[in-house]
Amino acid sequence: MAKMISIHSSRGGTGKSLVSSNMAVIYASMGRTVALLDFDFRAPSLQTIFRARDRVKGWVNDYLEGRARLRDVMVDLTDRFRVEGRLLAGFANPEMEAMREIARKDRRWQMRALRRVMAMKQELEEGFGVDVIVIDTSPGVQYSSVNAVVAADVSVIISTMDILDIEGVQRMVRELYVPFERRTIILVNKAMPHEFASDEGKEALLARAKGMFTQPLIAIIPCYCDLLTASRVSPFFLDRPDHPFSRALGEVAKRLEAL
Amino acid sequence: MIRAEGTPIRGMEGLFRDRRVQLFLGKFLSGELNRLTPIFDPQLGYRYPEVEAFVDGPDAAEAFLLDLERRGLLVREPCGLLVCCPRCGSCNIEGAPPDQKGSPRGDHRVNPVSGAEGEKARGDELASTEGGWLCRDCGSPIGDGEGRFRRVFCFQFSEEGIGRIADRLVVAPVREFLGKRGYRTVSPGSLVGESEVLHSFDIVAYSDDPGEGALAIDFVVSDGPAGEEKVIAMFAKVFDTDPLRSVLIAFPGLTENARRLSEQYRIAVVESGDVGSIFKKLMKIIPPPEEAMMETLDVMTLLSLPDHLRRTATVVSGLGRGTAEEISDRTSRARAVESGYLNQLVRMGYLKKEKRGREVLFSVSS
Repeated sequence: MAKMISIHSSRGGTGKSLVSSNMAVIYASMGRTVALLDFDFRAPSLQTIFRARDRVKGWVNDYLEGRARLRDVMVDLTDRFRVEGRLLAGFANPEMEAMREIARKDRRWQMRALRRVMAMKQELEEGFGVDVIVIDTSPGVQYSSVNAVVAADVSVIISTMDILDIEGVQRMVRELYVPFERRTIILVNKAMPHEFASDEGKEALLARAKGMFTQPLIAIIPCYCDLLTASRVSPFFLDRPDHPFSRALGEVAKRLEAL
Repeated sequence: MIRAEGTPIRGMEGLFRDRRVQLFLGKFLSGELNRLTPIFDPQLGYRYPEVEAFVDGPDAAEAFLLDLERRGLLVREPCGLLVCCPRCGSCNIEGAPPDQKGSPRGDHRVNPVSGAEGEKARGDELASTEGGWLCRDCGSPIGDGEGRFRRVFCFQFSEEGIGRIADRLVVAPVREFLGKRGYRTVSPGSLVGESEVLHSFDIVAYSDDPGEGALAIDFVVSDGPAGEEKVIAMFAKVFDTDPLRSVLIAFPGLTENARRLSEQYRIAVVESGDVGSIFKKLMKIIPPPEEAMMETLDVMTLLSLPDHLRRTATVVSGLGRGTAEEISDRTSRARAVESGYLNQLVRMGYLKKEKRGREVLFSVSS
């Protein structure tokens, strides 16, 4: 049965798109058939990372609207990357008009969108043989994100150790994830590197993070300056598979799969 | 909405773009009107109030009818004689039943005159008639050449003429669609706004429950994409009347700006180049009345439900529909417990319950 994983955060800039794009590539490298979906309709970025616009016949927006079939939306990127499995991606339309259109959708449309997300999951599994679905969402409590969270089997909330992020995550967990009884995992990203300099520092950081979040913590990944300087137009994992960030994410992917 | 204009209709193509034609012929095609009969009017002699609803006054109404007759869309037949007394100046329609004459502003139907001779339009006065008349008001005899006589006409639609253009007439099929969907329609219909101003829409559709809101539908038919002024005009009415749903049906469509504006104003738009393809789009926009009134089970609404109902509602919301057993399989709760929760959600207006054979299905609105 396909596992749907939503990647979410309370605020922007935590590294959702970086994590979701690399997680998808990692799963594909592990031999899985993966579907990566961009649900960040307000600020789509996966299309920029994968440079696949020339292959897009339809956007995820179109699928949710009922204007496109899934086979027209999902782009097979396997031949572009050295992966053992299969990498499919569905992109959000980056045009300003498309962003405006989806922002204006009413509640009834959003209700239908939830059903289409559920149907999408089933079709990806049955029609495409997908093992893992990774959804990159918008930060905060946006309809598209909550729909993805409700449809997902497990949600990963990415947070930094910034108090604004932490309190946002606490609120979201309390008021969104707990009511929906979703399986939720916290991934701390961009932790201060100096706290990893010693075992004591790591222990202290772990204790602090555990005290902040009520949900299980899957990993704490330090902030890597070379990530910031790396090219954003290809998945980092493929360029630097041995980088500590890639290794940490690989471990996260395995743990999530085992859940 | 297509503006009502007092100008003549230009060319056959102009017919379809004329709101008056669409609305008026829609009344015939939907069966609301079988025969258009004039009523007596103490000032004017006679008039056609059904047509005046969408043209500029009685004269324009008659000109409009004659224009349609000339184009072969209507058939005209004499159905009374307007007789004006040269002594007291009063006019009456002869051929009408005796109790239907001459009261001020009376809504009196004119009966056809049997054996009427000649067919002349309003304005073509007859010089004389066979036999004489007695004035109903002063009792004076009105002999040949003394009074003013004028033939009045009834109109029916020409099946042959309408058949030629039926595929371009939108009002009747949309009304028929709404009727099948369970709505009662009025065309043109009116809704009273918050301001207490009466606003006219091309179609207003009601469900059986008088407490429910109405659907307001306007049409725009144009050569090319219609501009934002049509959307703005409709929004002004929608803002004041706040209908349950507002729909603008555009032939062949709207400009990009108009489309954006309609989204901003939450006016649903159906764009189509032909009548046949609009119904699939309307099906999405206009649910059956019972569904239109159902509460929306979007994720934010799910969040507002009590915990025990949220789990049930979330499952139904994702599935679209299911039996109590199917839902209980997914919630891991006993079927009887789940059935209780499902019925509670039905009572709250979030779910619909229907029987299909031996199964009871619970569903969210489409």
